[in-house]
Amino acid sequence: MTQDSKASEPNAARFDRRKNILFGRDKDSIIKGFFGSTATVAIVVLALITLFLFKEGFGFLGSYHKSLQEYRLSGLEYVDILKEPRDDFSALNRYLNDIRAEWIRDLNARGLSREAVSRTVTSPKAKALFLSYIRAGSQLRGFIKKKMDAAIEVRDRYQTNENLRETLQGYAEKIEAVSEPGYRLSPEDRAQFALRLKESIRDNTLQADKLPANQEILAALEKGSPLTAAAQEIYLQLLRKQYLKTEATLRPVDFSQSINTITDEQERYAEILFNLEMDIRKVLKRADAIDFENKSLDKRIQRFRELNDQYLASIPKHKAKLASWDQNVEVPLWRALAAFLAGKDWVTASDQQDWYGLLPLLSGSLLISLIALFFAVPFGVGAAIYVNQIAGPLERNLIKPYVEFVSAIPSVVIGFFGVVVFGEAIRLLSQFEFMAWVPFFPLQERLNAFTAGALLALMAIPTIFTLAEDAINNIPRHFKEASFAVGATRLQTTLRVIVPSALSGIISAVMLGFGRVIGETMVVLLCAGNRIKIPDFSEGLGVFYQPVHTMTGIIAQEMGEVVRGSVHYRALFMVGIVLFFVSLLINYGAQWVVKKYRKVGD
Amino acid sequence: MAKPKLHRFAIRSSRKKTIEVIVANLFRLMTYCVILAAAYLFFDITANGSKAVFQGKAPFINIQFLTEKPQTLHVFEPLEPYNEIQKRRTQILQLQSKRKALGSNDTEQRTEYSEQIDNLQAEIERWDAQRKAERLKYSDDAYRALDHTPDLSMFKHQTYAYSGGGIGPAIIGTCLLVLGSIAIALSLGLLCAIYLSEYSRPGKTLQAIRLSILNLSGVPSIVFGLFGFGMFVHFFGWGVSIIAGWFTLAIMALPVIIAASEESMRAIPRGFREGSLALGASKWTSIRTNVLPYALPGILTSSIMGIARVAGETAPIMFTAAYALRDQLPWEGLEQPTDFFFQGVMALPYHIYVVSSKIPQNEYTRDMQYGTAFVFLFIVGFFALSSILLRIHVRSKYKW
Repeated sequence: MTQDSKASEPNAARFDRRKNILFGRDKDSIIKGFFGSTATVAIVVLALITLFLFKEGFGFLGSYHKSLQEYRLSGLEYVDILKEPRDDFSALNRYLNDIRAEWIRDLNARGLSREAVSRTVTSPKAKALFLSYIRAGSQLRGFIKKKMDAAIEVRDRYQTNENLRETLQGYAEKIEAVSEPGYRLSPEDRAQFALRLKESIRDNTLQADKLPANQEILAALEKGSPLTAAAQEIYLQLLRKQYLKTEATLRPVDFSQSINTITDEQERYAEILFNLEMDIRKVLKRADAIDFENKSLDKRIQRFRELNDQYLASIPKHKAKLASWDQNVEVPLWRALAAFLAGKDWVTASDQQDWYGLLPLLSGSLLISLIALFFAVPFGVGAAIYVNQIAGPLERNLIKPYVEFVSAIPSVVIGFFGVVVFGEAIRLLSQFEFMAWVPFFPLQERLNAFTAGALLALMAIPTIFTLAEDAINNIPRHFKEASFAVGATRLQTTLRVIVPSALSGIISAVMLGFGRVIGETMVVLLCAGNRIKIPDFSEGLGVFYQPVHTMTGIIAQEMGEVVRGSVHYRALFMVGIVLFFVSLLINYGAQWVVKKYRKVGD
Repeated sequence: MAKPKLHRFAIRSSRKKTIEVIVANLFRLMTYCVILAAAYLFFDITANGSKAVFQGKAPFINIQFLTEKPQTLHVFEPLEPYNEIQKRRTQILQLQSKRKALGSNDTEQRTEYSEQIDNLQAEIERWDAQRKAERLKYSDDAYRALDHTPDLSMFKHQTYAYSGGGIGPAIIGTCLLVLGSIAIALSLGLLCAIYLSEYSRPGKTLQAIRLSILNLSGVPSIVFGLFGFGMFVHFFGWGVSIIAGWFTLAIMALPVIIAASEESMRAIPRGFREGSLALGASKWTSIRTNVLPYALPGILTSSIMGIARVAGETAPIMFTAAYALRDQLPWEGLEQPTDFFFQGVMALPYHIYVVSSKIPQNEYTRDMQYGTAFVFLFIVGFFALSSILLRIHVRSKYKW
């Protein structure tokens, strides 16, 4: 630095041989400028990533908000509230079917012949319970189907209209551009014009006496010669015609009118619900007539009854909710963000409403990371302790490069290994009888959170190992010597002196391992099973064997198929932003831990 | 019996020592578990992959697999063994269901059924060996070139997508992608690192830049892919193309290369630079002669590791540069030279993804899958290994 400042002083020393090369700059400062500009380019490019992600992401809030607003205005939201009792009823139906299946199993187990079983199960008494219960809901189902179709139709019509408006806008702009004197045809316009003109000549929609002139223009167009004034006039004429034609197909949707077709028939709905209640009560009374001869089945029927009571008790609340629903309440903008961050569904390309909720993906990512860290932390840290403290120099010099080599295995190869070898091996293993003590064995799915997590552990171990080994290695030698001097054994020294002093480094290693796991794409895409649903935590440990989907996986899977600029496209960018922030947070946290606790023991 | 008397200083076994040994061995066990798990992965892929890549007769390497384009595989299964196997399979299923229906007392009957099943299994294996010996496999090109197709009354004709031919375009595509992106990343990254470590003034801004570069190196690769897709493929309108892949991969590798190169330059003692400056050399001369030569090995190792990373990534090229199938090589069918940059290519990692998840799994796809994985692992492993060996060599050579 001092050199530079000296050079720029006016009275430089005589032996300063710096020469002006360009614009009063000497060679050194040109070189410096060159490096500086490259550095700026690199840093600007890296900053662009963030900017670009945010640009696309913020677009998401607007378009998702608009979609939610349409959801409310078109009455789809109302229909979704209507659907609640139907869905609950279906769940009860499933429960009843389950009881029936168990009953059949029970009868089979008692050694009844196939005919006897089917006779019992289809006896009038049984039919009165099982079949009548299903039938009780038919009116409700029909009613809701009708309303749903109406709402979907309104929403679709509205969207068609919006698209038409956009097309009209495009035509209007084109007309304006063409009417300007200095207009020149672009290749696409030329092709379009020629096509239109050909159609008009064929259909004879232009003035008949000008037919030869039109054909001349067409020939000129196809040759690629510039536009004449007459041709321009005809082009305008055609465009205007097109505009009017499109405008005629426009059928505006008045939401305040259309909602009536959905919210009317309130009395009919109340009647249906009343009938349903009556039917359910009647059916439940008949349930006593069947003798299951089995305590647990009786208990389940009792439980079924309680569930039905709860269901019937919830109906007034549902009615109140329907009554309080108002089409005209604006959806606040923050709701779009909340629906993304706390949304429980990720549903795309459905005929009703698309939902972009992060929770199923986030919970899947976290679940897999948890499994991966469960394996990677003990093995990674344990191996680091072993290599640094216990192993001999030969072992150390072999293991360290080996683990580093393992870290270079491409993730897609590990994922492939999971698909063809590991997933299958785990499933086969789970089918052996001696493994039956493990909860939720045998497994149904070959690819699940556990498969992906265990493989990701293999990717996280090298990261954790290398960084933790570094941290342990950085502990000053005199710590160890002091500990030995007071008579501690090697194990005591390692576990009570070395590891605690390196703890901050080890924690930061674990955090960076976590960062690697949560950002990994190919392994989870190939091995996690890809079911978009929040894992069912009520299953206890079985939750680890469910197929899940992840944030990285969803981007990789759906990015190739989305339309650019759609809500879906932007939703994927939002997921990317979340990933970006999570990884920044983890990195920053790891640095903070090291910085904060570095002083310990100094 | 009396214990032999020990010398006063002899090592006595005590519970404490036993625990110590046990715990040490526990740590050893953990370490070797990791090593064995990874070793099994290498072994599995090498063992199965070498079946596709190597062959018994000269030149011992399956040139076709390494150079040909992926094709549909046409398989003609001999009907007779096929039918025999199917027949026995149904018999086994019947026996199994019969065995299940037995009460728990019929142990004799049960063992008899089990024996029959075992016999049938053995027969199936024999027929299977015959089927394998007699079946005919053709790649799509060979199938089209056939004078007369095998007699369909004796053979069962089946086709398997992606299972025939080789992985030539994918190897070439990966090489192209890696070469271009590493050239961009190295030139930008190295210059940037020289500026940051040698020219820039230390201060808050530099600290912030350094911190953000460090943080960017931890950002998941799929986010870079997302960025590349939005920016290069759509916003710049390059489409799915080599050049979009180059820039995406280069940007992904950039933070790592900048951080590593800067670190190896800053590790050079100040005295090296000051000595040169004191002798009257200009700043650039002292960097050129006294910093870069000593930092070069460090930069080289990190950039070779960068190559391994870039070659190994799938997520960033999935929707910026890679095609699932393209039957033209990059230099074929170009209308003008610039088209070269604006075409998608096949790439090994994406090919592995496609053949392991998008097509049904069966015995014929195995060779393709394992062969591709083996070749890919070999390429990436080669770069990683040379980086590691170089680093060991450098560490023992340069010390200050």
